[in-house]
Amino acid sequence: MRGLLTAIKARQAQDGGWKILAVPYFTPLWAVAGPPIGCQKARNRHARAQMPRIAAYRRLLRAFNGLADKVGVRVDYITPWNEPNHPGFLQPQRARCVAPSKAIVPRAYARLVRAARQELRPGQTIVLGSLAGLQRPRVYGAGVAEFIRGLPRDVACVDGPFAQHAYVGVRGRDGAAPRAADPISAARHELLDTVIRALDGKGCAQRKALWIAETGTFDHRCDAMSAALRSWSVNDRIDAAFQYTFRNDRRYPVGLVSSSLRDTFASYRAWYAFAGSPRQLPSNPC
Amino acid sequence: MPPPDHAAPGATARRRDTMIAGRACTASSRHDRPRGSRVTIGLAGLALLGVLAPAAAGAAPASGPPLAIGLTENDPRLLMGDSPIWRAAVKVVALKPAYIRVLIPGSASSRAPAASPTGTRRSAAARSSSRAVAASAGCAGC
Repeated sequence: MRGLLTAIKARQAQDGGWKILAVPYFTPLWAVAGPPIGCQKARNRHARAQMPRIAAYRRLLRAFNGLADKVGVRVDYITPWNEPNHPGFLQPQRARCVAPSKAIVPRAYARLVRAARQELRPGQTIVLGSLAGLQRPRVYGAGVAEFIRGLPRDVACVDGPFAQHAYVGVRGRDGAAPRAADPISAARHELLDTVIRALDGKGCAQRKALWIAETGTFDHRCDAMSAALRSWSVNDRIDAAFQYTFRNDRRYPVGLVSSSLRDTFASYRAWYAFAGSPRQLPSNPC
Repeated sequence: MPPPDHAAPGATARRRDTMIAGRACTASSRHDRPRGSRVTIGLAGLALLGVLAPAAAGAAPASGPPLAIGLTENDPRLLMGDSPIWRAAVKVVALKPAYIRVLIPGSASSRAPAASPTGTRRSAAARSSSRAVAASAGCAGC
């Protein structure tokens, strides 16, 4: 982590940009609050997906900020937790394993947000959410609207943008190649409209901007990724989009270059067209 | 792991300058990929595609503020032009990201960290692990 922060510091000095959005994910074993409770699928009862003790969580954030201080790099944004509506990252999502039962995870997440606010340095901003793209409630995961509705208003209305994950297309199953993503549905309008409606429903004084904090395309093509970026670019509510890993991760293959780094996928062109946030919508690069 | 680059330092620097100017090339792949997903881009190709000047003439005006781009990437070598994998690093830098998303993985250690919450060597594995967990949870599109 020290090496990464040092590299970012150098990039910031050389290029500008490269503002850090720090995202804790997984609970350190020393921070786990207790044994699994509530509704948890047997195979997913990972200790590291359990709610952390708040004091330990604050210690984790403090340690990260301390490391950044030592390196001398500024951390501008903190997201309190990664994909808090996904059972792979925070559990339990519900008290009982019944889909219509109320999700309890927004309340747990609210405790993390309040704790994170306590650890904010001057000038740091909370980026809420980083929600997994669950359009509808599931037994083991909270839907995006359900999650946002469950947030206390003081948490939902915290200053700063709201982060939502929205991947393009669907990964291939059982080793099969992914189907070509459809450029028409690539921008995940239905999901993002659901998020925006839920956020607006909280009645915050300031309208929340949306960051697509994780995206990428499974088929590695240019067309659908470009369509998504262009659509988000002309959407007044969406300010930023984050490619999930530059280097392809075989376990979650949405990277822009192959794992070997030898091949650059066509989806790179879609991102490159938006390099440096052009003032005008770039020509279609595909 | 990518193959190390054995180019002489001087040649490396010169070629790096060329790459930073916009080259994003690739060798042919040994891996099966969907047809159309592979691309070899040269300087002329990039210029033809309009990506060397993203806001080229003929571009449609955007109705809203520009879209800032960010990146999640925890390998510091991909951010350094003088790393052994500088060819890939050049492509990362060329994206001019406004933001970088840094994942702070929970350490597998049973003890609390003294100063650093994690170790660089663990981060890639932990990141993979995180996506594996997400994948095993059967979450489509998340």
